[in-house]
Amino acid sequence: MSPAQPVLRLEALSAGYGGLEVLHGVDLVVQRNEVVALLGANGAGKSTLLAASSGLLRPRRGRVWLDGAEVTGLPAERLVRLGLAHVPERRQVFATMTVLENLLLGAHHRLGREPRAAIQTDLAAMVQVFPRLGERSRQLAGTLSGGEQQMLAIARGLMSRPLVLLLDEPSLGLAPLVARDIFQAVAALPARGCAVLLVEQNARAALQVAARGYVLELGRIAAEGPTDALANDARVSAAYLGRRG
Amino acid sequence: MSWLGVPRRDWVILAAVAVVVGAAPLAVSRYYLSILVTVGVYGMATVGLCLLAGYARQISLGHAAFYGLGAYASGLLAARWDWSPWITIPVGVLGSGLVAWLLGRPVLRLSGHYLAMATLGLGIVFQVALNELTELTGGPSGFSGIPSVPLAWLPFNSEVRSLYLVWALCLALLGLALWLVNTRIGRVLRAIGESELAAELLGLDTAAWKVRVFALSAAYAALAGALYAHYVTFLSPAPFGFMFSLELLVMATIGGLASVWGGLLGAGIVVVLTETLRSALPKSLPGSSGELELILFGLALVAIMALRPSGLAGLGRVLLGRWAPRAALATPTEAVEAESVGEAARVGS
Repeated sequence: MSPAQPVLRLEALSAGYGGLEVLHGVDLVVQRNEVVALLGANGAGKSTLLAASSGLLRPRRGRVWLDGAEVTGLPAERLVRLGLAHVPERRQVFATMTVLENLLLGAHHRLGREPRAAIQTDLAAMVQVFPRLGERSRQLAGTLSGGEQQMLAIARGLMSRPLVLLLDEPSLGLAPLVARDIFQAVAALPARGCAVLLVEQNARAALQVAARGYVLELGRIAAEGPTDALANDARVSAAYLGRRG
Repeated sequence: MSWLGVPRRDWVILAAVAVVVGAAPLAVSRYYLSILVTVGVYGMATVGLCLLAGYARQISLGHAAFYGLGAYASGLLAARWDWSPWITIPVGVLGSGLVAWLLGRPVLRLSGHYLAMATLGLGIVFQVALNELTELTGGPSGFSGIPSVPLAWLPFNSEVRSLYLVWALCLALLGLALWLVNTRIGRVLRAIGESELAAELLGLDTAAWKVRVFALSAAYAALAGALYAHYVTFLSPAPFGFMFSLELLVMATIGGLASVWGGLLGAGIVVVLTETLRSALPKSLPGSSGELELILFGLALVAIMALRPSGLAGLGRVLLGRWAPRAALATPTEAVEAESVGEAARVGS
């Protein structure tokens, strides 16, 4: 638990589905309380990388370290308890349950182990981050707008008190203004003690929010570094920012 | 307005049903009492199926097997080894739950159509076993001599005793299900039903919960089956086949899968509809055959599903004008949490 210990470290991680290997030996580090962007074209393996890190998909080779402890191959439900939360693509909120019930499910493994007051404090904190959720706490999640559902998905992930949040395409299908709210909230997460690994199609926004970034191409890390350097990298800007290099 | 986290409205309905059933012997003939017993037996099995298929949304096309397992286990132990039904019934129920728990581990890895196929297979294997294990089960012709549940100390005739026994247990299990779905376990089951992926990512052990609810719903079915065995005192494999599994799902669906009340309501509607058609048709249409009965039954089901795809349970709430969103089902502690969220929202805004 030394401060220099990365909160998430992938070491030569390979993963795939059936006969197809999608990820070929990826090394990636997320330090405590930082936002890291993961860029890449469709099919580069971004979601696979998240799945292999969060225990949804068993890695074929390589290792996953969470807060200094090796967690390779542990199932998702164990990793949540150890401090890793994964908010999947398309949000997956529980549509026929209320906003409050969704949030409480995020804290499920804490119920009975921690005093209820601690969970209430976190509920209140979520409402401060996303005031819309407080206004709609009794509403069914399926009746929320796309942006509100994304807020709910993130807040639900945060209710497990993660050290690191894996966030997959949070701006997908959202209006630009709503997406901006989401990115602002993501940028504020390190201050709450939560690091973020952000997968995002909107590379420009992701590079603004994150301090460092990785570019994934065909299952391998093609570039990495501080986001301002990445933004000025000719290849990155041509491929992901739509500028001519 | 709740007790044990269950809204008071549900307890009031439960008490009302208990009073109606309790008073039924004063008002109706033995024939109607036997129909009520059947409703109680089927209702118990269907309430359990609602927990599995309506809340956790795991389909089972083999629940007749657990109903049959409870019936045969309790019936055989009592008829062949002279054990008291007070012992054989719990043994049958716990045994069936254990069998479901063991089978559930491999079977519930499947989902959707594959799970339906696997449970269908379980049901078929069970019925074949009943037919073939003639030494034990008496084969296709079955066996008799199953004792009734000894309740001679109750000052009623045997039909009324059965009625009270079945409904006391049915309403107790209904109460248990109401309590369960209003705890955080109910929330977990619904989460699994909605998105297993999301539930897993929130740290819920989805595999374990699915097996647990499968075993619990099997135990509900087994208790219904055991009570049936000691009520009719004779067992043969015929009532425990695929058609009964299907009938249980039909009852749950028209009652309302995603509601505990739907189970009892659906059982009541199906049993009463079947009986009414059986007795009314020959009078109104002389010479009509059993096929017409089935056709009308099918048409009634189509009509109900077309008009109320979510089942009839919600209709009661709509008619009473008491429709409340799910949040009304929150436990008191959650209500406190909800208020604190609301307060935080006001403070934050």
